[in-house]
Amino acid sequence: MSKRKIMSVIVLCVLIPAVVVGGFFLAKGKQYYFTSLIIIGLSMLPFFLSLERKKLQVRELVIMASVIAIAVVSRAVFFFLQQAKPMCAILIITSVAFGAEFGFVSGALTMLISNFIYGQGMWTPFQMLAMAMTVFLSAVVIRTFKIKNRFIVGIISGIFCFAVYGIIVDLSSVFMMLSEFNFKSILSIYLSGLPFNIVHGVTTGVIVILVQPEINEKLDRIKIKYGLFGEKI
Amino acid sequence: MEIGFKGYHPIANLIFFASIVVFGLLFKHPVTLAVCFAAALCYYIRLCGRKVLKSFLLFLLPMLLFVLVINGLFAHYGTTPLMTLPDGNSLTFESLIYGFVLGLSTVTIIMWFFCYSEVVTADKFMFVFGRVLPAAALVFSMALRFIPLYKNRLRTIAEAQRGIGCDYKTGTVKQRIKNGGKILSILITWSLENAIETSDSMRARGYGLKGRKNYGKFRWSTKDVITALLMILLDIVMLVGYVKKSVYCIYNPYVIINPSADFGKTYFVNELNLTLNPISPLGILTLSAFTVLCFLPIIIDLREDIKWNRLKSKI
Repeated sequence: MSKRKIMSVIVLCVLIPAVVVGGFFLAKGKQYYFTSLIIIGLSMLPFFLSLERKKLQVRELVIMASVIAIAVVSRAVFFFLQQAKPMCAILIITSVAFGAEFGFVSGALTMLISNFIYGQGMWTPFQMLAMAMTVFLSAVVIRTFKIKNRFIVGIISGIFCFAVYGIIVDLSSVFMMLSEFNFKSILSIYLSGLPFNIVHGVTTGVIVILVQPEINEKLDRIKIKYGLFGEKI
Repeated sequence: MEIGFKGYHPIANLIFFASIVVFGLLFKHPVTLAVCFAAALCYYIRLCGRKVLKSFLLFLLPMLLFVLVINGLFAHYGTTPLMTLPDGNSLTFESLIYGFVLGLSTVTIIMWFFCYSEVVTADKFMFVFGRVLPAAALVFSMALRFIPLYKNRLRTIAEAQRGIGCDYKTGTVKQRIKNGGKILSILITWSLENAIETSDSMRARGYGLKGRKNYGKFRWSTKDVITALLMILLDIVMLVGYVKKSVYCIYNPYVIINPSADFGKTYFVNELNLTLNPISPLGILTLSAFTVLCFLPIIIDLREDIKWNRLKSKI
């Protein structure tokens, strides 16, 4: 097992349950928001630590920075699609080419940076984790099954974007706005967010289907030419 | 040179916002809510001016109503029915009050975050977190620089594409997405090749060698240290107050404000099951510490304004 895996196992099996139990007993289960913030921080920790540890090539770091900037800027190109944030699509396409861990870190940083431009909020940590998980999971699925068909890739990323991103981001509203958790009140929050999530998922899927082959070719080319992300020259 | 609280050391700024968010969420006392809301509104107006009215009417007020309605309709606790809802459950006084409390605290925290966006800019954020995670900080700062650069490149590419009839601003939706994708793909080729060159140049200049330090723009001055220490002191007072439950409030099953005490007079409203206990000395101390903390940036800003005007009038 690599060090990162050991670290993730410790975080997942020891620290996060400890925080949940501690939050339950110390705050009498009332401070959901703070407990969830700590859990979000912990779950992102192994990935960021591995970024520091691994002594990535400078090239890979700079490429990550430019992928993030492209994802943020891409919003301007698709401004005509209301509510469409192509960020998710761009990040999924790049992390399919460059690796799932790359996707996790760049997803989290993209949301952080784009919130510096469009306004921070208490939803920032949730958005960071949500984007990171969406990109990470879809990259893992697509890379493990070596899916090449662009329609299947698009549908998978659309579904992950709708489900994972939507659930995690709306959780921040649930924790902030509800006094009592019952099925009806949680459902009402999720229903009010549903249209946005559907639009987000569908546009992500469509953009991936339409632009993935062209962009993927270029990413592969740069990966092979310079021997980046584990590719042998 | 930034003026007022904005010009203070980033760590002092972060201590302020961290403590305001933590205690703003922990305390649910009516006085703290009102104070926190008033201070957030004042500072937000001071930082953003006229923009506030629009965001207040279009975003914050609907949000407050939304939280109020959802909690009023779907939360089934409380013991004081006010009326019966169509689905047979009753709308209780407690759920209405607690919905309002939650809505107000949500809106207040959002306003503090708007202020945070104005005060803690990206370079300050980098300064604080850059030492803990240097590689992530490098990515962060390079991406911040790339964003305006790529915006310009995007415009250049889009104009060239329009020249050959591949405009992303007209045509059917499918065509526009295709053309947009093409523009993005050109941007990716251009930028990634460039990124490789940048990184080679960085390595040639010694990035990642031992013994290199970060450049920091911010220095601690006396006023920063005093403010930071004051905030930490206030935090300790409030923490003690919170742990000892001096500003304790319950909204379920009855509304009880302040813990029950054996001194002073207790007010009791029978129809609403509302108990209003007298406040203890520690409670008063906690509330005043919270008030000072909330209004700290406004006090600092106003003091500098007054000083500046006095100096100006002497000329």
